[in-house]
This record gives sequence, structure tokens and C-alpha cells, in this order.
Amino acid sequence: MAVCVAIVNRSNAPKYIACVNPDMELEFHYKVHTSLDVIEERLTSTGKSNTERQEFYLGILYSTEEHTIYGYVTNTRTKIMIITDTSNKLLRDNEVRAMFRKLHSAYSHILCNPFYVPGDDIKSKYFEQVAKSVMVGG
Amino acid sequence: MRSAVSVILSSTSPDHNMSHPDYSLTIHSHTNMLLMIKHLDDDGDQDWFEQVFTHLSSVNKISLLDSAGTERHITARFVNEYPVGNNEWGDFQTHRKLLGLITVGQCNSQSELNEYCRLHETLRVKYMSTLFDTRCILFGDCKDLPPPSNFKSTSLTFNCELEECKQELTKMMSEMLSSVFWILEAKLQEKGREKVDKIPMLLAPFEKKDFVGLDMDSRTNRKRCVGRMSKHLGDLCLQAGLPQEALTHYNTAVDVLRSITDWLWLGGALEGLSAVSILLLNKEKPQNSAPVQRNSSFQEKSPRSLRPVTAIIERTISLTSVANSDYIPVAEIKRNYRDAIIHYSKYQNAGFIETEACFKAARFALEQKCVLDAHHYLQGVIQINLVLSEEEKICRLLSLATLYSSLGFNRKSAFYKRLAATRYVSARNPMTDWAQCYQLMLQSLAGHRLTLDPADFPQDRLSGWPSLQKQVLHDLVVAAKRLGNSGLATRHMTFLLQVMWRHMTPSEHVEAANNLRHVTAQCEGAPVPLVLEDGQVIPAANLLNIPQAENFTVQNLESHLRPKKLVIAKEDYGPFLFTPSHYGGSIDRKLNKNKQSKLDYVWVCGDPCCVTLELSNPLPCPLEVSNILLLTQGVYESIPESVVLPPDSTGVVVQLRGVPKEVGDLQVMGYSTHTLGVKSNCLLSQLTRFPHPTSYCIEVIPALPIITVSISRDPNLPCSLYAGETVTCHLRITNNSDVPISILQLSIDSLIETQDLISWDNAALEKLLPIPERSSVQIPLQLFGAANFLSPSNDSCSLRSCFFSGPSSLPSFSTPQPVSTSSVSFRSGASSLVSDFSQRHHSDKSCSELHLVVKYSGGPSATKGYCRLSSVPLKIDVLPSIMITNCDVLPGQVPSQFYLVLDVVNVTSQELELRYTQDKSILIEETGSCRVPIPVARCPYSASLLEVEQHVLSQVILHWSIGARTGKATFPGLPFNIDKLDLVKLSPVSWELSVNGSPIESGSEVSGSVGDCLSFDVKLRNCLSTNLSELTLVLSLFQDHLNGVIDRQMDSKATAVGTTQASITSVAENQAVDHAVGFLFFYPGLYKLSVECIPKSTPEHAWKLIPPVEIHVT
Repeated sequence: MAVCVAIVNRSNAPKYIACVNPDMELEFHYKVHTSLDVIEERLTSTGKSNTERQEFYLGILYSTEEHTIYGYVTNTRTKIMIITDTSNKLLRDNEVRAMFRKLHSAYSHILCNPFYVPGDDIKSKYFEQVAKSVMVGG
Repeated sequence: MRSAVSVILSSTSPDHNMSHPDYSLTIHSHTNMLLMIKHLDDDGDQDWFEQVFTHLSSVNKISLLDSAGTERHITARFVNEYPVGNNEWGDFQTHRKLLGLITVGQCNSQSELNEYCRLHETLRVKYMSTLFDTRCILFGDCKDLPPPSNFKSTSLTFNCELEECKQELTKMMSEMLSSVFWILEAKLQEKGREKVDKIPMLLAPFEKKDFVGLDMDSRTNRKRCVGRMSKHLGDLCLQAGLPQEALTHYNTAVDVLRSITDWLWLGGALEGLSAVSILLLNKEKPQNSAPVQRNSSFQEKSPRSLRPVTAIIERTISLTSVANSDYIPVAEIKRNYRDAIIHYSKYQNAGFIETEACFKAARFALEQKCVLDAHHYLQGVIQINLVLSEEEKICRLLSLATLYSSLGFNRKSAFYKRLAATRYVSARNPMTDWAQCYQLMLQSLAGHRLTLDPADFPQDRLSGWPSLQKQVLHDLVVAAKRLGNSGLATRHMTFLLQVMWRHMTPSEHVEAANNLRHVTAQCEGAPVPLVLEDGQVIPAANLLNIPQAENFTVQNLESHLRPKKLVIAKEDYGPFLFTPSHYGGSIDRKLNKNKQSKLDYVWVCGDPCCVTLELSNPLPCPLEVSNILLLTQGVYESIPESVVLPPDSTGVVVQLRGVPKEVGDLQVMGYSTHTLGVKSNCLLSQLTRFPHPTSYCIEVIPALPIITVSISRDPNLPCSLYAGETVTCHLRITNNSDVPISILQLSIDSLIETQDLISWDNAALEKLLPIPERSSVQIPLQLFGAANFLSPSNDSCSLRSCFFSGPSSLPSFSTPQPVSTSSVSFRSGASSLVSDFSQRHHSDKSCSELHLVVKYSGGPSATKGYCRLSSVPLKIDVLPSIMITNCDVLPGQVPSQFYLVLDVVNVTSQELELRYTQDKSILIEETGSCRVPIPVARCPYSASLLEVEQHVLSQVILHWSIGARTGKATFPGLPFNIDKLDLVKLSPVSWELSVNGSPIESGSEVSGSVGDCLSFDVKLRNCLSTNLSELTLVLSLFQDHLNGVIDRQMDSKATAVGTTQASITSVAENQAVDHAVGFLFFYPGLYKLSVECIPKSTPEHAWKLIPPVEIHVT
């Protein structure tokens, strides 16, 4: 379903990025990186009025002929991004939300690990597995 | 706008038949009349033309009254190049029509004039279909020249400089604008009056062939004609300054066109509707309306800075103000625009219209602070398929980048800049331009959170997107390399290695290092900022990680060169013997950590010193690091070091040596290396692999002298001393420096007690000072074979038992025999013991190793309190000479003396002569022993045990000699038994005896005969200065058989007349007490009378008359 999954920390540095096709990794890096602008903009414009945002899901950030980028921001301003193929018309918004929720809970799971230093890159088999399942479409 | 113009100018041969998007357009461009100002001489003075253009285009706004008397505001837009393809879209959007032409030239001759007129005519013909009016402005001396006959246009000539005719030009321009306006107005009126059935079909350029052969009179097409015409009228009204009318026309057009699904024109109508709505909206809020001309500068302002604060307020204002009027609200304008863009996108041929619409919409959204909407408009731009040259593609990307950066989307902006940079050098681009590519790459750094200053990169935390940063920097290196600037390439490569090291894999490290080596083959890197041609400064970068420093230690000087304080101040440890918390210290330490650490040792000016550096090679190939120098603040001569680090090695120690050349504080900042062709300054503040301060500060003190010390022994002297022997040797001190020595002190450093071993004359030492430079002196030293002469085999306890074991071995009351004679007999008895003893200790020499420490100083440092220590090792072997195995105390021959009896063993392998009193000596064979009595004066009664010991020590000195070697033995630590103290100390009482009235001397013999009564009169005198009380005086007779048997049973041999015991209550000071008793002897013989006085308080201390009185009875 998804072709790329990325976790970006609050200072906009990558913590985890994985994609289906490793050859395209750099391209996805660029896509995720440039999409951060949109997220930042969303956060500054909406974050002011209600500090306690209820909705994590940001929806489509950017869409090109090939890929569509969805965004999701946690309360700690950790950003989760999913890139899907634009040609995949079957994908419904609810499914994307479910993918995000899955990734978010996996991320919280990682954070609960006492051996994980917050801020480090994510290197977890469990998380890898979840990310893979999201990408494959499990 | 200017930049866009110049880009168009720079294009060599634009394809005139194509339409090209102008990215600088805004919504307000819809209201502008388009005029072209053209330089007639393309190769002429461009600066001059720029000035003219600027001046002419400054007249872009006029206000005039129309026939109905209402005021019209007319605006104009000027270009200096306009593709005919764009002009052809004039029917679709009238602001694309070129309405006026102004040609400018400098003309001085008829031929020039003819040529210019020809060019003017050519241009006029080119845009004939749309032109309303033209002007030809000629500067120079051509007023009187006749224009060619076929030249019909209005021409103006100015025979003066631009400055002088500016007013005239302005006036001319106003006239020109109003002339164009009136023609436009006329056209508008004319079109408005056209009959509905006569309305021609307006077509976009690509539509022309679509409608060939179609029934134009069909109902749909009629509607189409009307709708398109309405839209056209709206355009014209907008240009003619009638926005209200335009609004009406557009609304009509939208309704009509939507009903017949004429998407392209519906899009146009919607865009027009939006444009007019925005115009009216801005008129409502004049403070918000930006004049057309300022649009280009608007982009440069950063809207981000003010947006967060004002965004919401402004939006509410605009919403409320719109709500109060009948104009279309902003949200609807945006929706209209979006629809328009969607409709455009349905036509491939309308790509350039769509692109421009996107830009215009984005600018509008930006103006309205709706950044996300702007982003939404822009995100499709790049996908619009336009047939563009590479140059135009770059232009599109750059325009996008600029617009994105004004949105505050720096990442996107950087992305497009990079894309543009790669376009400059792509294979499809016939004219690769690496300089442009490099410049754009540089500009894109900021968007990737990169700067070129390594100081901006915190080592400990992540900033930005490493994988992209690596790529960007790598591309920058390539661009710099292709640019031919190897120095720059080296710098960027070094920077990449310094900053991105943490994020690179080992294989990337190797690759980068190889690249660097390759780049530096052309140009070496140096740690100085590079200045580019355009004045940009590229800060220095350093290879901190190749090699990596693992440790950096400023070394103290070698121990013998290390300056010490002459006087060591007593350290104040505070009131606590131990405390885990450091009150004052902890604060100091924190301060030190923050600032710099001042080392607590010093370096000496002119003396070589050293810093150790541990280096690691992270690369799997040998790494040559040369020219490693210390970086200091202060005059310091560093000696370059070179090292080749083996592959993947860690902790290779490099000693950085150097000589401080200046007195004062020296700051050690770091080190510099030269590796892989790059010179790097590695400052401590940049190193993170080990804890250290940002710089070390070490004090450099003035030069100190250096000496060499040696001990010269007389070769004739034995190498080992016998215990008690003294020899003299010489200490030689050589001053090797150029500083005279003014202070010299000797001391001994040893773990063992060495006070007796060595001695020297301090006064003689003082006399030698000062020692001038490069000279030497000699000082005599006395070495003494100090040793313990007491038997080492027995521990002190057993020795004591031997010493004072009581009268078993020696009859305490026997008259001491001349020991010199008895020694022979004694020796035979004790020989077994002694031989055993000597065998064991014959070769048992004691070896003392000690250091003679010379403390010296001179020159200015001496006044500062610094000195140096030099030590020379000294080994003193002491062979045992004599040993005391036993000692005892015997009563002396006179009351004022006692005998210290010592068993002396000769433990040498030679015959030894022992002199134990002034005039008595004895020879002892090798390993032989003898017993010597030494008469010692008794010490006063009041003396303490310690005083007694010292008294005995001072009196008992044995002198020995073996051949020519002599020595003396003393016995510190000789144990004394309390029991024998009475013998050692003087008695507190003195005795005076008289027999039958005649006094007798001590030690003399009394003779009597059997049956006679010998009357003894004993007078006891108190010699103390205090009273003695409670004493018992006891007189008793006994017989000494001189064989150890003492017979005290005298009842049958003699009888006493009177009492033999008397109780004395008190004897005053210096007074005497008398007691008389008579003795009657029954048998002749030798008797002895002991007289003793027993104090009742301490009965064990009996004071006896020594020696006892001998009575010879016949």
C-alpha cells in the first residue's frame, strides 16, 4: 500500500525512513524533506489557536502524479509520513488513518523501551516489522 | 520583474512562434495595458538602455476623465521583449495584447536613422494585429535628418542627454498612454454596441483549426460567441479601468460558458472574475493594495516574519470587510481560481496559461497570507507539460524556488534550486554552466539546514537531514570541481568530511577520503577562509576525523628538568582531616572547565617540552600524517612531527615537541596536521572524543640553570664500609647552562633513616656560590657506615633477657676481674655460640640506597621562587664489623662507677683491635668474641630512664681498627632493665663507716681476731635535696666462697652485738643517722658485711654499700 514510511523528530531530523524500493530511497528522502515545509506551515497556522490539537492526521500534504504524501503529527510534534502511489485509487482515507495509528502505536511502543534513548535513530526489529507491514499492506 | 526581463534579454534567439510563460505576472497584470520598449541597437549600450527603460516604465499609471466624466485609473506594464506567440493569446486575455510600441535608439547619421526606422517598421508589422500606437524615440544629432519616406510612425528626437529630457519623456509617455487608452476605450465601446447575431467567434490560438467547418450558427456556438465576447468585454473593461462593469461581464460570461461547457474560456472568465474581485477587494482596503510596480519587490520581503502574529487578525479583517460589501469573498475567489486552473489543465495547449495562473494565484494567496493555498496552487506547476528550452525550464524552477522561499517553504525552495542547478549541467542542456550550477547549489544549502561554517554544526545533536545533506555537499564538491576551482572543491570535501563524518558509513568514509585525495592532488587545502569572486567567503574547514585525536595531554617537563617551588607553601586542608565534599574546590573546578584549565605545572623558556597526542586512523589504509604542529597563542617554536598510521589503528602516540620562547602564559589551542593533502587546524574546542578543556594554559617561566651531578670516589677506597667506618668522597656539580647558579641546597631522599650515613658542610657549600655558567665545583661528602651493633639475630626481647638475666652468669657481688684476662677463659665457654653467630652474619652486609638531591636555582626564575632538583643515586654497603651479643651491668669498683659488660663478637674476616676505654684495647681474632667491661660513671639518681640511656651512650664508644681502617661503634637502643637501674644510678645515700672508732675507706679490709668484738659505726647520710623517710637499715654478715656460693648462715660463725636492723623514721637533707652494732666472730675466716638501706615504700630498691666491707678474722 504505502511505498515509504518516515518518522521525523520535532526538530525535523529523520529518525526512521524505510521504503519498498531501496533504489529510490534518496528520492523519497527529498520528498519527505520537502513535505516538512507543509507540515510546519500547518502547525504554525493551526497550532496557535488551540494548543491541544485533537486531530493528529493532517491528510494529504503533497501529491504528484506518482506519489501522494500523507502526514500525521503527534502531540510531541513527531511527524509520521506515509507516501503512497497516486495510481492506487483504491486506498481510502480511513485506511491511511489506520496505517498512521498503527505506526503511532508502534512508535510509542519503542519509546517505552527503557533502552531506547529518545532522539536516537530508531533501530528496532519490531518497528521495522510494523513499517514493513504497512508498506506491504497488511 | 527586472530579473525576468533580463533573463528574457539574455536569451539569444527566442522562438517567436511559441508562447512562453512570464512567471512575474500577478493578478494585477490583468488590469495592465501591455507596452513594449525596445532598444533598436541590440549591440548598443545596454546600461544606457536600462536607464531609459527605467525612466520610461516609471510612467505606468495615469488617471483621466472619460467622456462620462468619471475618473479612470489606467495602468500599464512594460516589457522589452515579447514573443509573438504570447501576443496571439491576446483575444483570450486582452492583457496579453501588445498595445503600444516604443523604440529607443541613439542615432547620429542618416544611415543609422534609416536603419532604425526600418527596424521600427519591422517591429510594428510584427505586432500589427494588436498595436494601437507606436513611438520611435531617437537620441542624438538627427533632428534635421529626414526620415525615410515609408516611415509613417511618430518619431521623437532628442539631441541631448537623458537627464535633460526626462520631463519631456514623461510627458510623451503620458500622452502615449492616454492615446492607447482612448483607442482601447473606443474599441470597448464599439464591441459593446455589436449586435448579438453579429458577434464574431473569439478563438484561442490553438482552437483555430478546431472550429473549421463547424456550424457557427448552432445554438451552442452562438452562446459560445456571446460568452466569449462577454469575457472579452470583461477583460477590456478591466484594462480600461471599469472594474464594476468588468465584474458584470465576467459573471455573465461565467454563466454562459458554464452552461455550454466551454472549459478553457470558462477558466479564463473565472480567472478574470477573480482578478476583478481581488482588485475591488484591494480598493476596499487601500492599505493592503500593493501597487503593480512593487510586485517584484514584494517577493523579496519575508512574509513569514510577520505572519504568525498578524495572520489571523488580517484574515478576519478581510473576511469581515468582504462580508460587508457585495464583492466576492476571498474564499470564493480562491475557489474560482482553483476552478479556473482545473479548467485550464484540461487543455494541453493552454499549459502556459495554466502555469501563469498558478503563479498569479499563489501570489494572491501569499498576499492574503494563505500559505497553504499558495502551496496548493503551486504544487501542480511542475507537472504542467510545456515545451520549453532548458533555459526556460531553469527559469521556471527558479521562479518556483523564489516563490516558495517567500512562502517560507525553504526546503521546497532549496529543492527547486537544486533541481535548477542540475538542469544547468544536465546532458540535455547544450550549454552547461557549472558556475551557475555551483551558485545555485550554494544557495540551496540553507534549505537543507547547511551552512559552510563548521562552527554552526553542533557535534552532539542532530540538525537537519543527514542523508540529504551528504548528497547536497557531495554535489557541491562535484560542481566546484567541474567549475575548475580545485581549492573550492577541496574545501567543500574537507567540510563534508568534518561535518558529516558521524552520519557516514565506513565505506563512505573511505570513498570520501579517496575523493579528497584525488581533489587535493590539484590543489592543497589550507585552513584559511576562501573568498569567491563575488565576495562570498567560504570559512575554513578542518579534517578533525582523519586522523582522530583520542587524547591530548600537555606534558610536564622531564622530572629532572621540572621546576619546583623553592619554598612549598603549607597547603591549607581546612578544619577537616578528610571530607568528601570540596567546598571551594568544586566551584573552582567548574569555572576551570568552562573557561580553560590552567595547568599546575610550568614550562621553562628555552627548554624543550612536549605534548602527547594519541591519534587513530579510521580508514582501512595507511594514513600519512605529516607536519603535526602544536597550535599555541604565545611565542612557541614547534618541531614538526610526521607519522604514518597503520590501517584501522587506534591510540598511536605522537610526541609534539617544541620550545617555548617567551616568558608568560602560553595557550595551547590544539594541533595542526597535514594529511590527504589538506592542512587542518584541529582546535581542542572542536574535538569531542575525549573530555578536555577548550584550551590549556601553561605558565612559561624564565630560563633555569641545568646541572649534572656526579660523585667521585677515591678509587683506593673500599666499595663497602665496615660498620662504624667513615670515608670521604666528592660531589661534582657542573653547570651546563648559561645561567649562573645562585642557590644550591643538598638533601637526602631515601625511604630509610639515613641521617648518619652521609654528611656535608653547608657553610662550605655556601662559599662556592654562585657557580658561573659552564663551570663545575666539588663538595666533599662524608659517608659513614652506620649500623646497628646490637645482635641482629636475637630480637630485642631475647637480647634483653640475656642482658639482665640476673646473677646466674655473673655473680653480681663478685669483684669484677680484670676482664682482659678473663676474656680468654670466657671465650672458650661461649665459643660455640659465637661461631654460630659469626657464620650467620659474616657476609650479611646492609645495603643502603639513597638519593642525594641537589636543589638549585639561578637567574630571574630564582627570584620567582622556582628551582630545579637533580638527584644522584648513592649506594652505601655496610659490612658488619663488631656485634654485641650480650650486655650486662655490674657494680663498679668505686661507688661512682659501674661496669657495662659487653660480649663483643668480631664478625669480620680479619683480626680486629678493639679499644674500649682510653687506654685499654684488645685484639679479637676473626670471628672471635670477647667480653669487655667498660667503666661508666653512674648517672645522677634523679635521671630518668631516657637520660640514663643517653648518659650511657655518650660514655660507651668502642673504637675498632682493622689494619688501617678504623671506626667506632655506638649503641643506641641498648636496652636497660629497671632492676639494674640502682647500679647505674648514683645512690641517694652515702655511707661512712668506722670500726672501733676508726673510719675505714671504702673497699679497704678490716681485720679482727676471733673473740674480739668489732664495733661498727654506720653513718647514713642523705645526699638528696629532699628528706628521706621510713627507712630500714640492715647490716648482715655473709661469706662469699667465690664460686657462686654465698653462705648467709652466720649464726654459728659470728654473732651480732646489738641490732642488725634499725628503723629510721626520717633523714633530713644532708643530715646523717648513726647506727652502731658490734660483731663477735667465733672462727677465723674471711667475712663480708653488707650494709643496705631499704626504703619501706619501695623495698625492692635497696641502697647498698659498695663494695661490701671485708673482714679478715684471724
